[in-house]
Amino acid sequence: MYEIIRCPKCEYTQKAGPVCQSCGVTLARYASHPPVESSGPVPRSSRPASEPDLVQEEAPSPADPPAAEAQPPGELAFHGSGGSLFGIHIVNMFLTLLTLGVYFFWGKARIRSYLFSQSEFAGDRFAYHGTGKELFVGFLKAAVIFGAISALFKAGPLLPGGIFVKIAAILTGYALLLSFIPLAMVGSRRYRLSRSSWRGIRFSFRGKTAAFIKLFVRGTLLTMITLGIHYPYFITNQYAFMANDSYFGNRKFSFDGNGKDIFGFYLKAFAIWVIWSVVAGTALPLVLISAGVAGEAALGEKKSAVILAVGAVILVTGVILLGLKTFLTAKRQSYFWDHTTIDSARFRSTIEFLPLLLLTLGNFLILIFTLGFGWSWTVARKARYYMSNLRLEGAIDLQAVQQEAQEASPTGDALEGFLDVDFGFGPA
Amino acid sequence: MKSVWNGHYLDGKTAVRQPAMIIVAPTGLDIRTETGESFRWSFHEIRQTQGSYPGEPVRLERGRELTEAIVIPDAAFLTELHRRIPDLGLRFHNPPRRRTRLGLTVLAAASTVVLSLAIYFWGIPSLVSILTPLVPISWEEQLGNSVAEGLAPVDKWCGDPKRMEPIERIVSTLTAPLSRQPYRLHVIVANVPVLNAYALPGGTIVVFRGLIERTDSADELAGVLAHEIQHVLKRHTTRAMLEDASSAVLIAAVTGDASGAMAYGLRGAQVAGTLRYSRRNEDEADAEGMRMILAARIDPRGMIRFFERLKKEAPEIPDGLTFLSTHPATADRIEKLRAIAAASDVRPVRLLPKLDWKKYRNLCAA
Repeated sequence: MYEIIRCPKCEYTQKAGPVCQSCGVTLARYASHPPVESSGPVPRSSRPASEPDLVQEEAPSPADPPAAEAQPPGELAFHGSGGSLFGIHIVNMFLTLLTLGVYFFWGKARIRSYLFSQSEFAGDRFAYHGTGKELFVGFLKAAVIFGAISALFKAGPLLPGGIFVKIAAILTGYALLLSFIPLAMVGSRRYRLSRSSWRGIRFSFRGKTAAFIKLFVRGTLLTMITLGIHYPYFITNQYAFMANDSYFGNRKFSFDGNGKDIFGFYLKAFAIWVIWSVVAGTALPLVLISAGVAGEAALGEKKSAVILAVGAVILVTGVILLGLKTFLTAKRQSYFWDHTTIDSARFRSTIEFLPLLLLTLGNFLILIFTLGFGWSWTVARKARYYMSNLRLEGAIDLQAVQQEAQEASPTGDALEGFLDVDFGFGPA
Repeated sequence: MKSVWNGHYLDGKTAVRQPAMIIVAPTGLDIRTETGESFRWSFHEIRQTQGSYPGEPVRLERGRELTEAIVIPDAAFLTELHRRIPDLGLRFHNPPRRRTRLGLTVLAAASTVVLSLAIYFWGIPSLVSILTPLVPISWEEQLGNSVAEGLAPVDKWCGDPKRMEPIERIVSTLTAPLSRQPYRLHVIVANVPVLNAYALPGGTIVVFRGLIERTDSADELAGVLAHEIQHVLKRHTTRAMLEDASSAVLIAAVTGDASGAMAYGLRGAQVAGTLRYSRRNEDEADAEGMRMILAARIDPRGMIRFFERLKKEAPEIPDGLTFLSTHPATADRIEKLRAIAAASDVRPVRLLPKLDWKKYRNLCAA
């Protein structure tokens, strides 16, 4: 018999020995001992020669709650439950009503904090450090900015002067809006990463806002000019920008993917869409004509058949659209993760089309049948799926990770809320 | 009981977690890492940021700039901490109190429902009643004019000012008993074959050709105009806009930022909610309109007759679906009008006795 222990420094699980086989740290003092029971603080001088067990996973004391399953290194997991989230949500609703809406921001911070606290990587929970006050101030600032833009749109037609002044005002509004979307995306990412941590080390985003606005405006125009062909490249460039300037402490994330690798998926989806359009576009008129040929009088009798045909086409179109969207999400996300690295470790995603489709459909049904009250459960289901299908392979030199927290304003985050352009990715 | 707890210490400088012992002392926690470091954290400088939910490790933090943290996987630590040092209050979560928390959550849920209903049925209408008089009439006029441009552009107007005179007479007969009202009422007959009429905020009333051609007498048109004038006087459009905005705020407050299918569902709920306000406004315009007719000594049967014609010609919404309509069921409306008319002993005076209405109503044809 020998004991299995985990090195507290590098977390390498191994046979107990004097030194860690991986990093060489002295292990003898960590070997299992029964936990010391004492009735008061133990002065340092009177501590037993051998220190109590410090490797929690190896010897849970009987008083411990059922130990959470130990995660293999590199695995992500979500432990949250829809029920707890629902409780938080309900209390948030109540307090928001009571405070005429002001508590909303504190509630949002609580939800985020819960989701982070329930997310685990390599045995340690993430933490969220944003506060409701920050979100509230960010909201007020974003409201002023957003109000100014929409005022420009509204005031455009009322401006004195010729048609050119009006057009110029509206174009300025659009140009501002087009640059505010990337501004909000970068701002939101900067804020959220700066308020997230793992093992006490903050994440950060250090990309230059102006560079992303340039990338975004250029990509949008190119996508329009090429009638969408550029889109897979555009979305990959956005992700690359977001990933490449993200940091965990002083360690940088990197992305080594290329838009051409996901181009095929978009082409496939487009081809399926075209085929369906042709099929439906010829079949539907045929049904309608055959009903119409029978004459005006007979149309009444065939009315239900026509309605059925049109309904079926709409339904199948909806299912195909959802399927294609999910297909692209699954392919894109797993490609993006698979090409994201930190130090010598690389993410591995096992997100797949069919399970994601089932998840999406299931969540849709939950929302419908609970009249929206099942929202918390859909969030938990989604988080559980995404996290259980992601892991980090390879090692990060945890010794070398140094804290390098960065300042970030919450305004971008709030602005994103206004513009509803949640890009929805991140290492947490 | 247990006084030494296993956990780990995060120094906020590196990502290495150091196994540590945490010892509960009377004024704080003693933390000893395996590397031999030792700290004393006073209770008042500790924040608990995790560990309030089942299965969540207890996380305690200290410091703002470089936050240090200790993580204790065993939630029994909190129970024991509260047992040992009873005056810690709410600084640390107390797991045995989770039942109380559950109870409070259920209470909050029930209160949310009650509060939402109270706001919807009473709060929003009262708030809007306070706010509506504060909206300047010039704003309403501006809004009304811009809507009128789209609804009935000038080139669609029927009848020159002279031909409009009988209609203006009806309006002045209706408004004569009113002591004072701030609106300049202005009727437009638009050359559109639709059986409908709109009251725009600010005093403009648009009657479509399709409606006026289906009135058999001046009394009938007076009934329609009385209803529309009441919409103007009671400022129903302004009310509706304020109610729409407030219910959007109510829903946003209750549900937060929803997206996708959820957002559509909520928008539907909001529309259904404001439709109830709309039906209430219609009821009010009916009742006040009928009172206006009676006060002006116009034959109330005209208004009732016209509603009966509406009932016959317009497809009725099935009983179970009236909640989806902007207007109450026509049969109910007629019944209420009859009740008001029956309660009055006004002797009507014939309206526009010299006018051949059946000829006049085709004023758009000319």
